[in-house]
Amino acid sequence: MDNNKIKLAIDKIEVPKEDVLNAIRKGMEQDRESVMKISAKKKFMISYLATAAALGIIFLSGFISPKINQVLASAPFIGRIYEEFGDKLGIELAKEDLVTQLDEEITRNGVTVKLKNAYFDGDILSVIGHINGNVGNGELSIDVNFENHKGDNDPWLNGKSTAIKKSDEGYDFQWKFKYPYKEIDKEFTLPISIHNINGIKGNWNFNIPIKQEINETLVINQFKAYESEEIRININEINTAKATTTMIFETISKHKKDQIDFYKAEDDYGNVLFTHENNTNLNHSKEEDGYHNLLRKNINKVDKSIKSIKLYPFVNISESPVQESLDKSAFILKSKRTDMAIEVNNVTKDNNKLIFDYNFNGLPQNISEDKLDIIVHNLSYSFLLVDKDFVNDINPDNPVPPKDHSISKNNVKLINKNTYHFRSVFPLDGEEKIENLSLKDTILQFNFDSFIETKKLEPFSIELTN
Amino acid sequence: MKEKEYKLIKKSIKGDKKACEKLIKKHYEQIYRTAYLYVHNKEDALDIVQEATYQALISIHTLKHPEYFMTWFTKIVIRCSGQVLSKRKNIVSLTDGILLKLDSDIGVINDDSLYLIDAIGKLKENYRTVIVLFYYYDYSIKKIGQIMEVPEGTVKTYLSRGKSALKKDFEKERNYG
Repeated sequence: MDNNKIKLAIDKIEVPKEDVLNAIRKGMEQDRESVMKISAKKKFMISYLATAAALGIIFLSGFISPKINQVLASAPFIGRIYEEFGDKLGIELAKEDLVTQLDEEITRNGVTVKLKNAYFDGDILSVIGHINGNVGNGELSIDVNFENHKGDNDPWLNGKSTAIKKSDEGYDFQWKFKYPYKEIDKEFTLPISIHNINGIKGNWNFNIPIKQEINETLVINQFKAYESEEIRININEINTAKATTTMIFETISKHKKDQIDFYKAEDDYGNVLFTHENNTNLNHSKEEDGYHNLLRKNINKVDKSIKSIKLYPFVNISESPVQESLDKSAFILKSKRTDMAIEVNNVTKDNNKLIFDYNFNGLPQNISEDKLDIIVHNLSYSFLLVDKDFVNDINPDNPVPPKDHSISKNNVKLINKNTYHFRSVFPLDGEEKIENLSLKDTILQFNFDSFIETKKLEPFSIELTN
Repeated sequence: MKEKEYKLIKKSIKGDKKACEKLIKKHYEQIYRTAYLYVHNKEDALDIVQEATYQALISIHTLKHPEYFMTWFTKIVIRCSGQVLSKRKNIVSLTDGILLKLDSDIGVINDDSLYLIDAIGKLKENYRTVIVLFYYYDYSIKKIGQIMEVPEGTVKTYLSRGKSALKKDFEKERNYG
């Protein structure tokens, strides 16, 4: 692999010119907004100071309210630290004075951890801190748990991200979390236990106060059902906090592994509220009508004048493997939920190989070479030969092929790309094997999951009650 | 560096936003491709372009040597990409259906290039950064060390490990084809 190849490959990534130039413009405008707001604040400060200077006596007499003094002194500094971390929400909240100052400090084994400030808005929580002392010069790693949970079994770690910046002495860090529970507690104390910083063990334990000011519910219980897909989506709530809006929704499907989500939402002015935004999992359960998943998603702040939101859902259809016995040499494996099928033309055993000749029916016509490559690749993972006495031992939730009684590895060859005609060859004397193989006692399973493309569902609108 | 670009950078440092916008737009392809190598999808890559532009604009006044503009800006793009990646770490992976769709964002390119881009995407973040800076930006080991804030020896280690991981994965991918 020569070096030039890497550069050439990267140069082939197609650049959507207009979209990129547009993103740059948006980045510029983003700054304009914040500069405008900052300069308004500066003006306020200047006029305040001018007045105060004119009335010099106020300073001299020490009559100035310490509270106002603190706000003036601290607001730009707090804002600056969020600016350093590129946290727009933090900048916004700092301007509105909705960031809690913490200033708690603990030193253990030569390492000092100082928690500086925190905010909580909607379902987003942030803690900023500083670490200095004997922690070395390289990357910083912090082993931490919240709310007295232990190890990885800590719901706060699921939606946590960490940003670290080297500062003059030590490191500044920001943790951001997605609030992990359904009912949002507007005021609580969060225990934080740091156990290990860059290999130095210790107990840096904090209890920090967390609160948020407002949280208003705009939507309650609206739903859309998709009968042919056996799916239902409930929009339970849309809540707005100071700078964040969240949507709690529930997806219901007859099929456990279906993944249902939204790829986009727009308000009634056509503003996009999110694209492919991740969810916080709140709950899942099996009920009479199917498998329920309760999820929460962050969306852009919803303006007060908006009357409705249009949601664009999609589903990744899942299905369990289908199977046929090899007591015959031609058969069809049909997908349960799509029109796809594997039509096996013949099965031949040749010394130490088992050869399947088949057509893959129901694939879209004229697919690209790249996609065809992916299909060939996936085919080599989608078959399983298994001894019929062991087929029921496979757990559908964790389908581990039974050792010495199954073979999944096979080499796939494309025979004709126009008819999707393939040949799969299973080596019988490889690492995987079936003891005392006899065709009539062997089952061929096929899993269509990786061939089913994401299905976009018909968009629907929900009304807002504000 | 061309005289014209040098002037644009100096103007930008002094607070000329139009100059700054012009300057960033000159490098739009490189910025987008760098972001794409981290996130492997158009939407996130565009978000990174936007965020990096904003970050550059609010801090360009701190840039002391105009000749280091591109190094400095690349650092911002990589940091923004890293933030998006770390946000994603705890997220359920996309299904093949979506991956098929995302792959089509890259456009029509030959198999080897696709495997390579794919393989770069699978590298550990530090290895990937070194590979991108070394091969795509043609930066020296010293410069990469400055950008990543690690010693030159570490850059060399990352580069050699990144290269062998890339080679291994690339050949594995290609053999399936």
